[in-house]
Amino acid sequence: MDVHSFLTDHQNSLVAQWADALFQTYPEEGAKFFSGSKNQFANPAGHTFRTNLDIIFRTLASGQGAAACTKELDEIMRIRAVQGFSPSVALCFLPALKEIVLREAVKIFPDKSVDELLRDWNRTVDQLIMLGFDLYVNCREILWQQKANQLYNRTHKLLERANLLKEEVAG
Amino acid sequence: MSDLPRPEALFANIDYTPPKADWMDVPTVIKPGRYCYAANPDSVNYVGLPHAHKWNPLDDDWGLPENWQEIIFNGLRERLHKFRSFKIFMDICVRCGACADKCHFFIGSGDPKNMPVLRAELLRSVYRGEFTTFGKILGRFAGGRKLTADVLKEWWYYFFQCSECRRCSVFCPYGIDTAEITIIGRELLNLIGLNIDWIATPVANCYRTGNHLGIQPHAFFDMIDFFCDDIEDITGIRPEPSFNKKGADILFITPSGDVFADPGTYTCMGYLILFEYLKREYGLDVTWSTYASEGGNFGFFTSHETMKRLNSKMYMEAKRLGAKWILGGECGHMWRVIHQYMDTLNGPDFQGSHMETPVNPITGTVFKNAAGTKMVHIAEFTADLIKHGKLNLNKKRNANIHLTWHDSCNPARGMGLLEEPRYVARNVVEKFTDMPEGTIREQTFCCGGGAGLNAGENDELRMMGGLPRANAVKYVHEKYGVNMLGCVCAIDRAVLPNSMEYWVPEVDVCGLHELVGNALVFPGEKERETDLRGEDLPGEDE
Ligand code: SF4
Ligand code: SF4
Repeated sequence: MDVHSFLTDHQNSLVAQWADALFQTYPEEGAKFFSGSKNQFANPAGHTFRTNLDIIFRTLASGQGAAACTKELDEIMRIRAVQGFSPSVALCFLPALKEIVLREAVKIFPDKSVDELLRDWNRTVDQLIMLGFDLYVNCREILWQQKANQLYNRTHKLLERANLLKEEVAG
Repeated sequence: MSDLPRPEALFANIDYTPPKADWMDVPTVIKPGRYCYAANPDSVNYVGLPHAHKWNPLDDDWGLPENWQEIIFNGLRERLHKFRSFKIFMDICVRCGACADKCHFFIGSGDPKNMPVLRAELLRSVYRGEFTTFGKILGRFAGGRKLTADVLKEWWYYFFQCSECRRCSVFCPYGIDTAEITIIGRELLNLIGLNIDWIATPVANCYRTGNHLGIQPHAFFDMIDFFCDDIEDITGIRPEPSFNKKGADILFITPSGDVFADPGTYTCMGYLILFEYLKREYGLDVTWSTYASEGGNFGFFTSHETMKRLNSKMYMEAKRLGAKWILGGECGHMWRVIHQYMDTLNGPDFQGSHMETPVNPITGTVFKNAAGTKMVHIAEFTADLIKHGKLNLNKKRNANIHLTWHDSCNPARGMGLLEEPRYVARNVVEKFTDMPEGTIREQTFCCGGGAGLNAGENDELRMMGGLPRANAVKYVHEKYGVNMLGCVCAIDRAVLPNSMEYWVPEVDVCGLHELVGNALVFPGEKERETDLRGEDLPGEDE
């Protein structure tokens, strides 16, 4: 069996473990809720996590690079970036994917050098981690930008409306 | 495999192993991004609220008065006696869990203490532990606990993570309203000077100058005048609003956010256009007040007394001017106070003696629903005008807009205003699509910033709490091409633009009367080239 078949054959169990790794970063009641209700409007975070992790896994397993999962990973990172996690915790489910696959792979490929077999896969996951990092920072930048704009708009508008700005510098 | 570390834990220095402990044993960690700065003592003093002092939520010592427990106990006792609903809410919860996953802050965060049942339990456990015989004897076995400094901090942190939106109450089989418990919780915290500045300073401003921003009458006038300039540029018609006019038929009051913050300002221009049209066509006599220059009532987030004091200025002004009734703008908390609390606070005489049951002078419609409050929501007023064919509207001016409707918690859940805004909206835009069931009308999701939580430093909480609303918007955006989110609340108009920018950047936010202002056609009006935002109008043939 090659790595590709291994990943596709074990897709469901691997994705379930991966989702679990994500849910485990929440307090028990929160994890229960996110992994429970399937209603996409009543449980938007859980629904996004489950659906998108599944798509991401299938995309990577099919041999496409991490960039093909940008939209799905972005939707996850947008949620993780505002849930009060430190950056490392917000992102920790990404490297966890390597560990999850490794733990399953050693059961299937006992005699072979698993590290060697998984080299390409691990490289793809590394790309995914880097992408996740970019997306996370982008989310935080939107928040910082909003704060900066708020301050700027508040003072600038008042000055402008009080006619305290000269036209040539106001523009 | 069970003795192996969990995969996610291998890579992150998870200092917080999510506790499996009982909630009472989970310590509260106050996180930046999720709390608002402490109130400025000057503001607290200004309205005579007790124990004004400087403190910082991140410090160990919150500078509490020595007898703080006694103050809280006395306050709690007094309120248990005074508010029967509160006493019942303390006693009857069966912890069925129906409300647990209905709060947008829990749905967004997964933090158990944001489950309404647990939020209420924060206070209820102390009530049991300190006030009931069972709880006093059995303590934790009866779900009771003592009021310690840590418990107090937990109260503060989580009662200011509740936007008092009442969504949870819709699902409780007993009608327990956790918002009411938060309200009392915040009142108790106010007794020892623990409010937040985004509430206390607007309250002080409102008490001093009549509006949250502390804008004085001449500046208020200047702003409206500035809008009239813009309207003249866009439409060729210059509105001539009246201010503080004695003997005017109707007094108009709207949140000051409409006058000072985009995109509310466009809604304000919409009001001005509507009133000018009605004056020219039908002789409507509306006046603005530069004293009662705020509809919003942040007193609601401090204490019942403060709420009453701020609310009273609207009626005192109506009396001073001799107005027959009050027309209210697109505001959230103003309507909640008027609809749910004001009658009990004031008694009917205060609101009523000098005014009449509102009648639309143009259509003759009697607003019987407002017989007690003497105050009509502008969405009802405009809907009535449209129903009677009194407005000449051209939807094509809004042809580039595909609208969906955010039911603002207070007007929707707090007073049942569900159909009127939709009726007006459908008459001024060509494309309208509602969000899915369970996310609108009575079950609408909060914007995340209600009840005074729109401070800049509190942005993470608001984004997280705004997720369920934004998620439903995203759905109609992706599926149907919705590009505008309409609402009738100034807090929504302040909160939702940032929320949309973060979650669904293709969708913008507007008030209802911005769309009305765009669509309304004056007799002999020049061809408009732009909408009220100064953006090109869609071509007539598009
Ligand atoms: S739904 Fe009502 S009775 Fe059930 S846990 Fe919530 S507050 Fe208690
Ligand atoms: S009132 Fe709203 S914010 Fe408060 S607990 Fe209930 S659902 Fe949550």
